Amino acid sequence: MTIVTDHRLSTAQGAGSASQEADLDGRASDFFALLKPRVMSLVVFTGLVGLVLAPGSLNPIIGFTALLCIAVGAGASGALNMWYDADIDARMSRTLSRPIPSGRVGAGDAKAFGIVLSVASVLTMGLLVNVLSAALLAFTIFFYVVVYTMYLKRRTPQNIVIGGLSGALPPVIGWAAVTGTISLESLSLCALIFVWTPPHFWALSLVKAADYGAVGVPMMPNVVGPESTRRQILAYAVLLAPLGLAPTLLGFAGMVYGIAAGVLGLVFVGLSARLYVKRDNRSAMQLFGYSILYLFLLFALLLVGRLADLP
Amino acid sequence: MSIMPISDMHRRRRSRNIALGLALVAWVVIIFLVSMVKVSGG
Repeated sequence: MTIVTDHRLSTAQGAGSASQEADLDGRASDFFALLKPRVMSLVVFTGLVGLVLAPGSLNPIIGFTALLCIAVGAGASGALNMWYDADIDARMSRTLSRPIPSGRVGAGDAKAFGIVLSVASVLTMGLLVNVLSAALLAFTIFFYVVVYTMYLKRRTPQNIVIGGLSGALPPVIGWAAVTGTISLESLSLCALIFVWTPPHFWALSLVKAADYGAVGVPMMPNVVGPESTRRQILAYAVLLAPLGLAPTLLGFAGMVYGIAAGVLGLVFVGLSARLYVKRDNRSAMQLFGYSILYLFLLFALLLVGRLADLP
Repeated sequence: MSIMPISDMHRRRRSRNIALGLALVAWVVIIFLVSMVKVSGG
């Protein structure tokens, strides 16, 4: 039987097993929460953009299947991340109410759920879509769970820089689902998300530094200090702004997108510069909020530009 | 013989089992539809 001990779940023997086991018998909604639905929605959206922008056509049912596999694979990664990080989640206010630390789902159940969904999503992608997209999905899950969650996260302040690759790959998977190839175009979308990730997360970690520090996660502000983190955010923003123009320069997005990406990129740099100068939490949270809007707008513009055939 | 009332544990399991059942049915439907698409050369 499983019982809750502190913030981890462990195996034990003894009386009263039925009631304790019942306490961990999570509802469907608890298992859905393990999938990190908000992260999943962003992954599905960027994967959809890769799928729509790719040259050629894909049967809508196969396209839907590819997106579903990306969504389930991303959700499985989230569940395995929550299983592994249950100890630190229980000590951070932001993550305390997640299903495992709050005792609504057993750690073993979450692990089994994540593994089953990972295998199912990759096999389904391989059998129904194509082998390359399945291999990329498997690599993405492996990179997020093993490389980022199990290795990088607790060891280096570069954790989200390198680990960000897993969040950047969905457009490549979507593109590969249609073409069966990896191209410069899809890699440029991957690079865009990859470079966007550090300033996005570091803006939040500047505000939540105490939380991360208390559980020993070496986020950049805790290791090199807020001053250096703000400088690095600005550096990444300066790198990100021209990368946003890549789709137009490579010819798979039009001038409307290019102009909008240029303006949005300049705003990103401006907000990063303001954070560097003002050094306050308000500027950090504004940059964090804007970074989400920035990525959403860029990918929405790519999608609308293709569907509406904008110049 | 009286019917034993279901407990909260059973209610939680029921919602989970229904969700699992629906997910499996959806998976079978997707495999069927994609198979039809591929067989018809789509």
